[in-house]
Amino acid sequence: MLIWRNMLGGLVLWAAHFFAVYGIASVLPGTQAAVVLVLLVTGLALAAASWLFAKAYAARTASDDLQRWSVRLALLGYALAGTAIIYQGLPAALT
Amino acid sequence: MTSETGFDPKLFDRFPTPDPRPQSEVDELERIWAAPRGWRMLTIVNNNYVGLWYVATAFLFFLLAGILALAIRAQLSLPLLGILPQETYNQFFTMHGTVMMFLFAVPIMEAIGVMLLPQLLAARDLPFPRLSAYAFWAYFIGGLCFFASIFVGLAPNGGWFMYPPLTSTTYSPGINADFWLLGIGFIEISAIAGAIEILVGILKTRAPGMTLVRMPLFAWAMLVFAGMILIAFPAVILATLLLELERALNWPFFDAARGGDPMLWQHLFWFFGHPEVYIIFLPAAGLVSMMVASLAKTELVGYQLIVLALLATGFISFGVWAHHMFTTGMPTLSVGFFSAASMAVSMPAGIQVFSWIATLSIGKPTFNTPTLFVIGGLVTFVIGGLTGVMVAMVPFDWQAHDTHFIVAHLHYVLIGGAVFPVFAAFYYWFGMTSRRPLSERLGKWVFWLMFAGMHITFLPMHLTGLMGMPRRVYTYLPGLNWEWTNLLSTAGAFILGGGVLLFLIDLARNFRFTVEDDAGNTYGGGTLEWLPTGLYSTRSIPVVRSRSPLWDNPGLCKEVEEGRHFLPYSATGLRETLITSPIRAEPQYLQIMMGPSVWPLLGAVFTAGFFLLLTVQAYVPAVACLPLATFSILRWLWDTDRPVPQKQVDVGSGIMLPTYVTGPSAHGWWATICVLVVAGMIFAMAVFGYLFVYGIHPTYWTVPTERWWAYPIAAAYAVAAALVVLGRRLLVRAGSTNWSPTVAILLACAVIAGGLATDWFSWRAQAIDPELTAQGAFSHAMLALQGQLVAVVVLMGGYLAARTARGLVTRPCNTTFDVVSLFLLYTAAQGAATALLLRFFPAGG
Repeated sequence: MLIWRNMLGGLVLWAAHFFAVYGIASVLPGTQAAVVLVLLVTGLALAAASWLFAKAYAARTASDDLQRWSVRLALLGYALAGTAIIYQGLPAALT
Repeated sequence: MTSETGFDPKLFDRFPTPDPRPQSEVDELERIWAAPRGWRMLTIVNNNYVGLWYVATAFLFFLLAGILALAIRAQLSLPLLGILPQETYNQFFTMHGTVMMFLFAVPIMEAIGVMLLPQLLAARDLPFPRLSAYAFWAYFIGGLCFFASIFVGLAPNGGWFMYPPLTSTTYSPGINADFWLLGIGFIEISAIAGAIEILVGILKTRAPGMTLVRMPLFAWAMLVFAGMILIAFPAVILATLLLELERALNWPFFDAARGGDPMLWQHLFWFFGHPEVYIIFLPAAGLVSMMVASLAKTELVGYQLIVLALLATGFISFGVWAHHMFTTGMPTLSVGFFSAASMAVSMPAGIQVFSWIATLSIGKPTFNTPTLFVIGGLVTFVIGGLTGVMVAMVPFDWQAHDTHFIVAHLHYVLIGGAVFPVFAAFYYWFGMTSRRPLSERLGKWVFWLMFAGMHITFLPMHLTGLMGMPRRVYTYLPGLNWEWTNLLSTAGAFILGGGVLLFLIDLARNFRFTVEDDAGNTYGGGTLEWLPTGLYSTRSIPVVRSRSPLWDNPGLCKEVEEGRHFLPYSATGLRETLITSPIRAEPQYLQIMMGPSVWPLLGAVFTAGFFLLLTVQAYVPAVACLPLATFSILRWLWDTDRPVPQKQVDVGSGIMLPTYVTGPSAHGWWATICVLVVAGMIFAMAVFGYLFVYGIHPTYWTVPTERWWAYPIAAAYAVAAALVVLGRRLLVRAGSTNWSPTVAILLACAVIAGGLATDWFSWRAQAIDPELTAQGAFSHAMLALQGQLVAVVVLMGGYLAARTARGLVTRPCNTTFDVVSLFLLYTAAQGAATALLLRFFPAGG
């Protein structure tokens, strides 16, 4: 389970953020509340990505090859998710 | 070392065993895995044959759709030409897009997967060979019948995306659109069957020791590909179902005048349609990653980054569907999100491209035919990717939308990202199935003709589009400055066609099908598909200790041939393969595999008959096909799930494994979960549609009365779920009779059917007419979806009872029982969710 989480955690987080902000923008189209909510969700998602990154970083000296490999993948995945989440939040930040 | 299953990894050190095994074991393997001859070849289920037929059929559709493209280009070569009348032109471009996307691009990837994966993973076959055969026959029969519609002028004519209202009965009154809706809906079922086979095959039948870190990149790509199909394809299945219901029963899902919305179709279609592009690209990228290392004679640069890129593409591609809808007036903020995601998706594609370039630059590539196709594909794909970033920018997209610029962009992406890699793969892996390799000399001609033809066709098309020529017009007026670019594009298309024709000539000269004495490893690949094989795949299943085992252990071929690894014989006298764990590939049990059977073929014939006869409104024979299809499929399943007398067998070097396992370790359990994911996605998309149309046109909705009905209905489904759990417990309990667990399941089936009946009749009493509003249409459609599940549940109950009567439900655990239980639990959950949603949304009153 840990290995699946390492492999998919960052990407699941990115997907959850995407669908959350899309949902907010669709339910509250053209409102200031949508912008505020999107920024809030983006902040939370970034915090989650950072926390998961730190957690994975602490486990980087895992016991065997496969686990170390999956931790490296997790670190890359959280970094990619963080970048994508910032990028995804920009339309709201620039509104 | 950590273990995933309790298996001691030190046992791998026993292999290779010291001495060769006797020849008699090979003779027995050959006898067991022998393919039927004559007309009985139609009953073959082995991947070597089914995979080849699959590839050949997909390639046939590529040729047919290519011929349509040449006719389209001939018509557009000069202004006001009359080669194709307007209606025929509409049918040609619709069929070209549809056939290329649905009958070539996705099936060819599945076909290559079916053909290559067992050898690549050193499995005897994929875990459900009869499902592969069914998927192939359904695709073959359904695809040919669908294509034949063009010969009688009944082919669809509304574009490959079939937008309503153009495809509603008002504007498309004939059965042309129905051919698309029923034909494609049916073919997608075949694609999902193939995806389940591939996904479970990759996770459960890898050679021992082939952990995720050592898994070949094509297998990684196919894993993501199959997962994406399970998530994306249900959207188009639901969309086709809804549009067909609108056309047949006048239920207004997409009719804005009655509270529906044509935009819903676009959302559902593109939720499938854009991931579809990556569904096509990822397997091709996997093929390129495999080939590029061998062709450059070096290890691939950035294996881990490519795995990340494959996974990231799989996720991000589901966040870009609305970039096809920038001009439809979506909320500005939403448009911003989709634009951002559309640019972000180029990151993982870029990672792969840079890895391939780095591998080629540090290696020593020879510029042979597959290398040329790989590099040509790379260049073409990068150009298509760059124009993709251009159209991800909303203001540019507003200008270029629905012009020939988009046609050029998508062909650059698809030909560079999929067609050229597939041709490279043809040359690279040809030696696996043919006695003679393809000609290098002709191959280079093929490449240069195709490469030049492709760019001569589509590079000027960017300009044609920027000069304003719209897509899907059958002719144009002179004097618009579109003549020269169109003429060039037409010349290029025929050059491209010439390249394909030359390839066919080469194929006819050199292809000689074989399994045993093939041309072999022409390009020096280092992965397991190049081990010597027969119809049983490898003589023994090797322990994998690296990503390129043939490079790292040059003696491996000999060891495997001498039977010095796992399963050098048939342990039970039947077809069998090793099932291993999903992450570390530790041996778990021996799967008994199904042999040749006519039932998958008959099942496919009657399923296709049902859909196609329904399309031509031959209702009586269509309905007659349904029980025949059901019987054929149940008859094929009847032979499965039969434990053998040997509870445990020696799979080599004294390692004992069970021959029967149930629960999450079993491959059948994984396949059932995949089916439920598909069902869950169809339901999720239906809920999305329900909420979407309410959000657009809330004034057409009424608040339901008598909401209290939701409670007894949900309670009934909860009781059914409890009965399923009770049945599962009774199966384990020694004191219960043989019939007690099955009776609990039958009671659960009855309660579920009762829950649906209550739901239906109490909802009908609300008098929310399905023909008057989208609310009525959606609520009835959701009850109909639940009705389909309940019909399957009832069938499953009867099937389980029949197996119980014949003493085939083993105690204390049984795969059929588990599959039925999982399906019942899901049906109960969906039923309760439907009842609650319909009655409590919209709230108020």
